Amino acid sequence: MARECPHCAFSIRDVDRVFGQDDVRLRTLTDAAGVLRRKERIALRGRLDQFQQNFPQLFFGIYFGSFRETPSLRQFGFWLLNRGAFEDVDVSRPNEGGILLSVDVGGKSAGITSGYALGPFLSEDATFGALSGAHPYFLEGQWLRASESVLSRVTKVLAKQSRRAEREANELRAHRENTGSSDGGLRGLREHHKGGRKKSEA
Amino acid sequence: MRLGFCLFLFPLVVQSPLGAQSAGPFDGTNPDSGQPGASREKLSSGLPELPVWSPSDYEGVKKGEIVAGENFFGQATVDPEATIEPSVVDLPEDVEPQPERLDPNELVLSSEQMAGYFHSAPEDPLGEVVFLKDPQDLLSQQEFRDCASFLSYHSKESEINIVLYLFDERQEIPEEYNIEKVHQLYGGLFKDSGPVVSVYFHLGAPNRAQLMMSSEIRAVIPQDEQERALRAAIVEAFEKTDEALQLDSFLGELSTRLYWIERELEIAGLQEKTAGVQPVEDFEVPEGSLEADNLWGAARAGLILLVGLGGLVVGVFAWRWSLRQRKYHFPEVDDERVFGAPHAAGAGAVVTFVDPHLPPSRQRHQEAELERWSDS
Repeated sequence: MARECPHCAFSIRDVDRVFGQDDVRLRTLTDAAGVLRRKERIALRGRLDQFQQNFPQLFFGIYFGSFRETPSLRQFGFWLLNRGAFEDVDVSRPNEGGILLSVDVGGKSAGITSGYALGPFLSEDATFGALSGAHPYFLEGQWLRASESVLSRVTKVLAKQSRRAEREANELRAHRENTGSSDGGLRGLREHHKGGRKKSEA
Repeated sequence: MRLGFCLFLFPLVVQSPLGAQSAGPFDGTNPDSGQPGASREKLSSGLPELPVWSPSDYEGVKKGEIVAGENFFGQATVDPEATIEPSVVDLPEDVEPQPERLDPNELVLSSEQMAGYFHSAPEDPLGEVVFLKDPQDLLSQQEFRDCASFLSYHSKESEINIVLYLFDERQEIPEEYNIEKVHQLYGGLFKDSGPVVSVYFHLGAPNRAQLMMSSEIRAVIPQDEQERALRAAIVEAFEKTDEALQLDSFLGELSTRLYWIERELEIAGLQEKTAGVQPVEDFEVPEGSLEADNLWGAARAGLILLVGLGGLVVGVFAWRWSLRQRKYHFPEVDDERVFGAPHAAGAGAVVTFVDPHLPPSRQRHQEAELERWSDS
């Protein structure tokens, strides 16, 4: 495991110094800024539960806070997904399968952080697309609709990626059976994802 | 020093008007003494002469009969008999000319005038039927050509023709020429052109417009739908103020409505039935059977619509339910841990929402380090 960035020497210890090095207990929906009404919280929890039903390996967390004095929302999201212990998430779903939407209500910014397990499936462009779709709602302070929009878009992207991964896994399995090759496995699967479907066909 | 200052002020205090005024009441006890001297001082100062107590006033004050300042600070009395001259002159009466009152009998069109509308189906120099009847020349030549051209265009595009009879705003139509009778009697003028909608339109009064559809249309299209089409056209006409433009709007909307009516006719299959059948001018539908057919047709269409709608709703719900129940799995990946972070590398997108005028791409928050994180 690389302890720090070879270029800038950044590591999790840097953000630990800012936010704390102990694990924090929280729920998948944490409204520290107090921007959601009760009905909105209930509705959003329902959506988060639905997400967990659709993706048995993953969970989606939303954090509303106000970080005017902190330097970077990205660093906060990174830290929270690594140090957060989500009470309402089953232990079978580790934080590697977590997606965290952090919203800085005071600083007017929002970011998405995802765990290692989603690295090949949820690109930064995809998360930016999800945030862009919710941008009008963020501008108007409609936090529930913004969150639902992000959640909906991320769900669509992941569903598509899941279908593609399944299809490519089948193709890979068939290819192995035809050629009798025994190497491949996870690494080969990842290479297929990075290269995309066309590359695998070529 | 103090002594010198007092000596300097003494003559001023003695000679000031205040000093003279304050001495007034006390001098009143002996009004004659010192008064000429005081007057001289006031005259020399250039100020108006102050009022002086008379002995009787002084006695009245002492007895309480006179209250000083009563005239200024007491309640103002109003003379009940005082009158105020009217400051506003009455405005002149409205000089807007009254609308010309015409004899109602003069407004009713004569039989000769009405006959001009129905002598034959007029044709233009090219031999095409003109669907616009304006024997009174209410429209200018250009307006007439425009309107006739539109009706001709409509007749080419639509199976249902519009025959337009133009009248003036306040003209009355004789009873024997009411639109129902006219349609029955003279609809044959256009029988070669297919189903016809006769329209009476009063220039400048779109709300007086009347409409009558051929019997084959009436057999399928309910009366309220016909009325809706007419009302919509009238409303559209009132969007304009100019009479000719009102007519344009009216016809445009009516033409659109007739398109949908035509579609309904196609659906009902009536056109196929009537295509090879006898002329429809004398087509009489018994009222009872017409109502029954209408009811049955409406019920059937409603039932089909309801079943279709129900199927659609059920299908949508089923699709959404299956989507909600669907589970998506991902292959486990052995991704390299970086930055000493146990669960996430944290290279996600960040967007600010500060400026509503800038698109999200312009408010995307990129950090120089992030690119290096990703590269590493």
